Amino acid sequence: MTDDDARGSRRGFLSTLGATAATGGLAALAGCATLSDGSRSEQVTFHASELPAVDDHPVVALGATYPITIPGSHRRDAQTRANDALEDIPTPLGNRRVPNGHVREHLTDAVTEARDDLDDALRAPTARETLQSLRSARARARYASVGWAAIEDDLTVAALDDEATDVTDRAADARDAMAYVGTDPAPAVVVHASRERLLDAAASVSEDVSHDDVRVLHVAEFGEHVERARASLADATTVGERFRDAQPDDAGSLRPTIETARDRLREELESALADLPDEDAASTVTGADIADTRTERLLYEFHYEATGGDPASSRYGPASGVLDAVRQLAAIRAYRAVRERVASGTRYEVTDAAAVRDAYATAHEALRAAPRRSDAPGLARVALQYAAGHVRFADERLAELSGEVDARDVDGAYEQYVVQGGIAAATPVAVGTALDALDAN
Amino acid sequence: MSPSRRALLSAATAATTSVALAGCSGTGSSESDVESSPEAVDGGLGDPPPYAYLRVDTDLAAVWRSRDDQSRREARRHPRPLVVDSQSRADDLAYADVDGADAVREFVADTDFDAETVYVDQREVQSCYRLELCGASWTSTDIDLEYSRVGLAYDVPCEADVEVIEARFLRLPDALSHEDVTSMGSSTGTGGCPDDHAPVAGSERPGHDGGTTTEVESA
Repeated sequence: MTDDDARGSRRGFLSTLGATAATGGLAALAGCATLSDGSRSEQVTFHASELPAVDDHPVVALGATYPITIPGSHRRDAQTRANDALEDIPTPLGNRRVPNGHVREHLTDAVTEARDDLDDALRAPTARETLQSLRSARARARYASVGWAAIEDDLTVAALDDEATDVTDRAADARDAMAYVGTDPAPAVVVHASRERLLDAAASVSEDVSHDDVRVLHVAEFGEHVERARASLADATTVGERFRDAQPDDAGSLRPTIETARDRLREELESALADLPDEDAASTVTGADIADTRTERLLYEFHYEATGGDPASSRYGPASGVLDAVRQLAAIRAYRAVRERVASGTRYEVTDAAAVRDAYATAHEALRAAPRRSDAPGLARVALQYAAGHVRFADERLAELSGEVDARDVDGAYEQYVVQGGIAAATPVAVGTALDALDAN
Repeated sequence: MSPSRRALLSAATAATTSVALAGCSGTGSSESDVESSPEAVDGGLGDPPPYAYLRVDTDLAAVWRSRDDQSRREARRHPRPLVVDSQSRADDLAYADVDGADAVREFVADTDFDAETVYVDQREVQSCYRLELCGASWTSTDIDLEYSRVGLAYDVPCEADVEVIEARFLRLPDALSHEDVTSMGSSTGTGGCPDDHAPVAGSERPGHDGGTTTEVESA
């Protein structure tokens, strides 16, 4: 799964949360299990109609972009590929064709989701998000068509092995040959970080499936993995070619520049992290009596965002490392800022619905403003995808509420608005730091 | 097994559980008349003993104790394993009126309770799945089963998000006492057992994977 796939789409974001939960990270995301639930905070209720007006498909007005035009033929090829797969399936799949209701439900859901993804692709605000939706459409459509072929033609996982090997071999070759061509480092980081992740997604086809005990669904899921790899490779190739075409003929490789910047940012992060409180003191602020309050939880979450992961050490490559560094620099700056505010007397409590509305508005405005306040808006947009995904998820949780609402029901959303909004507000400065590192070569 | 074996087993349990445990570990219990479950292989449990199988497609239990206060519906809501250690307890069982029930009743009735015990394990399963019994182990006080869940073939009719009841009747080659067995547990993996241990009587098992249905004795 690529960065966009994980952080841009709703399904992708939910999958990311699932994966995080699997590695034990969700507890930290949601606040440490050993921390309180804000039990000292006063119990507050209000009506859902007083909450921010988010609909079922809230849009965070922020979309990652590429500094290039994606040819229409590439998008049409992806749409055709997904539609062709869908046409292989005799829908609707009734209980005569597929008597097993569990299998039928999975295949039918995949068809529905592929169609939704195709619709999303048409509505996507940026070409980059269109490609992301089309990758998902291709993968879900292939799941259904391969599942149907496993029923009709006894298609097996082994029969897909050659295709999988072909894709992964070509992706590995492309990754080894990545030239990091470019003249302007900021757009080059945006493009090449995306290519790093797309090629990583294409270079291996996971044999891990959730339905290892249902043959048809096992084959379907493997087919989905193969198709996602194919789609990722196709996008990486097209994006790389278009970006190269947009460069002057004498454009060389920026790899040394990007690697040096990544290393400088790592040093800067390590220095900044050394000055932060450790985990035990994450939510302790001298003179602030915040034990067992939401404010305490928030500080802990800010600390988690600021200290998680190895600084600027993305396994995908140096360009992704620079992007990760921007995110982490922003998180550290946001954490410091909120600690200062707490020390000055600010408390983060859901005292009424207005507190949620304010946090919602502040987060959305910070996400909207961060790119235009940055010296490299494209870099800021990509760096903000993680924060935007969290805010979108919080919007969806609020949209599900109705009637009388206990403040505890909006804790998660409120916290994400404050935390991710704070990180968004700090992103322009973090982008500036990254640009300095890129220009210092 | 002579009547003294059950007495010996009870005595061994009361006096020193470790003797019984040692015997059941398969490492030898020549001084004891306690038989053991098959030795564990690769960290798992031993092969299960012969067992009968009932699958019931309703919201009621497959088997229940007819003299219990709890109704059949309650038995479904709170399925609990049963240790059938005597003919009278066997006679106490009631069975769902489904294909295979007569064969199961006969399997239980044919048990030599002087030397054998029937262990009844009943549990809910999603209707598009079935459990396979991979292994079993037992001592005079503990019984453990190991299952693996497998999906039914695409051509087996079933509804998603509906549950059915599966019951297994294991004929353990030891005379246990229901009063002494205090720990009854199980674990469930996925993907099927390393070796198939088909039931010897009862309901047909719904087909797994390739769409075939495994036939079992239904006489």
